[in-house]
Amino acid sequence: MKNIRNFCIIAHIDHGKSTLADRLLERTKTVTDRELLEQTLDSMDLERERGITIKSHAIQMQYPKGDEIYTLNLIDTPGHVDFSYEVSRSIASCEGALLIVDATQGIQAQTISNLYQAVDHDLTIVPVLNKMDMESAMPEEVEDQIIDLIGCDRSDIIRASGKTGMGAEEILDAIVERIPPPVGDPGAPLQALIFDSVFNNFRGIIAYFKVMNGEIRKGDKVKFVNTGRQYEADEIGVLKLGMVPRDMLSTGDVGYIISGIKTSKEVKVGDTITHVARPCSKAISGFEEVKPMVFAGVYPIDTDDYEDLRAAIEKLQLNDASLTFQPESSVALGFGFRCGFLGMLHMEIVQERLDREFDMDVITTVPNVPYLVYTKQGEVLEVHNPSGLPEPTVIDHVEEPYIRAQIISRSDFIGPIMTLCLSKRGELVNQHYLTADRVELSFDMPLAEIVFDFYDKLKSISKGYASFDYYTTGYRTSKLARLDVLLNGEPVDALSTLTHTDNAYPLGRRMCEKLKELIPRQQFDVAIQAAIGSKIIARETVKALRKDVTAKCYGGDITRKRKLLEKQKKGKKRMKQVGNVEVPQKAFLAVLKLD
Amino acid sequence: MSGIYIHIPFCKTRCSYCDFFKSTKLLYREQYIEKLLEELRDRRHFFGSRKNNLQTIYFGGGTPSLFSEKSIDNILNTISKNFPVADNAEITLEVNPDDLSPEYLKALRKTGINRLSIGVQSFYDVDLQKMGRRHDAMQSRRSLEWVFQTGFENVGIDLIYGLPWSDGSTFLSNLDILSNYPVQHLSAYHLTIEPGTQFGKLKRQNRLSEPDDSESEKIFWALHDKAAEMGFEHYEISNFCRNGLYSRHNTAYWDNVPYLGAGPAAHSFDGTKRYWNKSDLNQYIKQGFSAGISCETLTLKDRFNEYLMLRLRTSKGMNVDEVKKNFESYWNRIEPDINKWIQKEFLEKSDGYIYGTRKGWFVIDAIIEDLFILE
Ligand SMILES: Nc1nc2c(ncn2[C@@H]2O[C@H](COP(=O)(O)OP(=O)(O)OP(=O)(O)O)[C@@H](O)[C@H]2O)c(=O)[nH]1
Ligand code: SF4
Ligand SMILES: [Mg+2]
Repeated sequence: MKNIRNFCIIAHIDHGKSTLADRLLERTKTVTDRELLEQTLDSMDLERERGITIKSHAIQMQYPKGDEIYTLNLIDTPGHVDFSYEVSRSIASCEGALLIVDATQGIQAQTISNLYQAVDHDLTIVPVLNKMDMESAMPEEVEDQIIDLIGCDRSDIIRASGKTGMGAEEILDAIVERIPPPVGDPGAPLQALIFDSVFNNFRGIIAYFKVMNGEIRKGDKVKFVNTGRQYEADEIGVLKLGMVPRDMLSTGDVGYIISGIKTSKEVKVGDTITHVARPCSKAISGFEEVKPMVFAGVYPIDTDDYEDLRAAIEKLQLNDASLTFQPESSVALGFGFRCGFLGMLHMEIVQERLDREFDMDVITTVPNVPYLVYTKQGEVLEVHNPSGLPEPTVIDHVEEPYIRAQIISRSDFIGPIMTLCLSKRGELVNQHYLTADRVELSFDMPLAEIVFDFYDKLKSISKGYASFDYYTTGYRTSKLARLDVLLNGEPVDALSTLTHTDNAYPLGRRMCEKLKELIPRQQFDVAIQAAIGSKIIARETVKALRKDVTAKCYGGDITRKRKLLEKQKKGKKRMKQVGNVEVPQKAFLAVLKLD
Repeated sequence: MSGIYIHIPFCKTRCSYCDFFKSTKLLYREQYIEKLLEELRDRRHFFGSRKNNLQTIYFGGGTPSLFSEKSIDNILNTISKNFPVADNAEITLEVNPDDLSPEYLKALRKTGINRLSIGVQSFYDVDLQKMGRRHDAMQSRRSLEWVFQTGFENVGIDLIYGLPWSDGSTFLSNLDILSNYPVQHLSAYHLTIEPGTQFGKLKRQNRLSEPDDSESEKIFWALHDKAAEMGFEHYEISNFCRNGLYSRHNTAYWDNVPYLGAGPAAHSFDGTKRYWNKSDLNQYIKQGFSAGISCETLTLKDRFNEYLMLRLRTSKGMNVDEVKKNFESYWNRIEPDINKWIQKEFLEKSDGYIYGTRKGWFVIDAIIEDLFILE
């Protein structure tokens, strides 16, 4: 146990976590050069393209130093706000963390919030300045930020480059020397923390865990404390580039278990594995049921694809337990599903995977957060979609989820960021200067405001220099309205949104304007109206398409005209017929990007 | 039955709205005629061995009236040497008012030209100037007088409506002026602002824009009604005629009659295949038509779509028995959609024909598009 080092990496998106991890794998000969595809740790195609590590993975390295051989377990963590719970569980499995900061960029919000979590869990922090090969690196300045943040010595900070391999050796040495070995009692009842799980077509669900106390052997009868389910440990082992089966794993080890689990829902990140025969007295603390915080309707473009869509979503859910869904139907879009996502990025990823891995053409409706509706009869309803909002007369009051948002930016952008957040019903909680020109702002904000074009706005007003992170803090009383959109007098349920009353008028107006841009001209005028209840609050008209028939068609050039019309028709196949109006796919998400 | 289209891709200057292929380098005229005659001779078997009497010959452009009567005569002679021209063939020349004189017109009549299409565009000088036309209103009126004095009987003019700076009543008063002449044919096109033109540039700079669609539609129907009062039959979306004097040449396009198009950018159709010459005057002059000709076999679907497209633009519409006979399976596929449009009152069916209604005709492109078979 004294030769084990468990660590994770804390880094902002694109600061070079995956690249640097590759260098460590190389140095420890965990992978051969041939196996070392760019960024070994990111195995999903999608991840590779986006450069975002979506799912955490773990990998074991052997590093000889002095007379000893050390076992280093790297637990890779996802780098986006939507996945912060998974990050927290990965952190809970480690004794140390590499803090990787891009020397050209400096500390970002993401880094800070994860760093706080690591510090809370008493992890030893090894600070690393990455991308030192780049000319734009500003090592002194960024070092100042790091020193300011974690109070280390300047000499503690390792200068590295994932590109050239600079500093890799030093990092490995620091892991061994600075990070303490795991603690725990191998003789105590088994207590293992599940920090991730994946789905494998042949083997079912594979859960990743760290043994906190006790030992686990192949064939043991085990129990997952929070779900209460029991299994046989068909196979256990450690994770190298592939899975390496072992007969026994002991306190401090990081490994995997395969036990015939079929669906991802049975394996909850944060759950505790123990023995049926000799169970631990209590579960490892910090377990939370991850709850989707963003809901949207997902519909097949072609109504015949409904069953295929169901199959696709079920498949996705096998390795993505945080995705929830239930059947829903819409007058405008037919049959589909109400899906729950962790956040906006998660929603985008699911949409993209449906398209890429299952070739499913879907329409996603305007997302909303979950609301708690208290009725006059004293019931509490959780409302996930606009049509689920009860009649105003039966509602006593409504509550909406709030978040604590942390934004780090150059101080010259404070003004516009404040304006943005205040306009999004944010309340400033704290303002903290990290260095003379970098400031961290904390706001309490309704989550719903983040769902509506917040990221893009933040990015544009800060010229890309602000970083953002959040965690949910609970529910607060709110005033909610359902905003409906009507096309030629017919309400289009798929375009309804739930919004704070104060936002309803401007939102209605902007939705109408946006839809006017997006809905192509048709053979007749299309009236676009926004309404609350029976009250029309905004209106636009798409004028009928008319005169291209009367242009001159020269010299027998019939083919060209035919091809033009054929091409136009093909373009329209991707549209959805709502009543008698053709609505392009992207219109259903129009409200998300209103500027 | 068949037709020949002769393309004359020359203009003295380029009009502000025009993106139709042409050259302002008049120098090449002589060499061009050489190659044109060569193309006509080389393609003398285009209509096959069938006894396809040429029913129509059409000189379009560009500005065919830039060519001397000798050149026109030369071309027509070559045509009659290589193709069997029907005695009563319709032989049209597009002319611009500024090119006409009593002498030229007399000489043209001798060549066999028996129909003129005059590019009047408007009887108002403001319009003509803004459109960058080379003539003025006076020249148009004078031309019309000369034309009829010379003895031409089958005469048509072109007008353009939807001019951004003008309004419907001004446009319609063009018809009052027209009513002074025994003009038998009228082509009225709506101005489209094309990207590659002077107008396109002004539009990009937000200095010019097409009128509102509903305004355009109003003018269209006012034109329809007024022309009807004057005895004009609105037989195709942009074409009107009196006394049954349709443009036989254009009607042939809509009837799927084979035609040969000579000159760069000209299209031909032999009953199954569509050919088009490259729109490259230099290459045409240097290497002749054969260097730039392309061809495409029209599938049944293509022919069906074209049939639909051309027929629904006519006031008569499409003949149900004819479609059923020639395109049975496609007809079965679109019949429900046709009925949908009939129900919405965009199409109407009577006497075995289906055609656009007052509500539907002006937006017929969109309906055609909806009815198209894609695969
Ligand atoms: N020049 C230079 N580029 C680097 C270095 N490290 C990483 N990069 C580049 O920076 C980009 C991001 O690197 P990644 O390793 O994917 O970053 P990451 O932190 O894993 O990103 P996420 O997985 O999205 O959180 C890639 O284009 C890398 O090639 C470095 O030391 N020097
Ligand atoms: S005369 Fe006709 S072809 Fe020539 S530029 Fe003017 S509009 Fe175009
Ligand atoms: Mg990565």
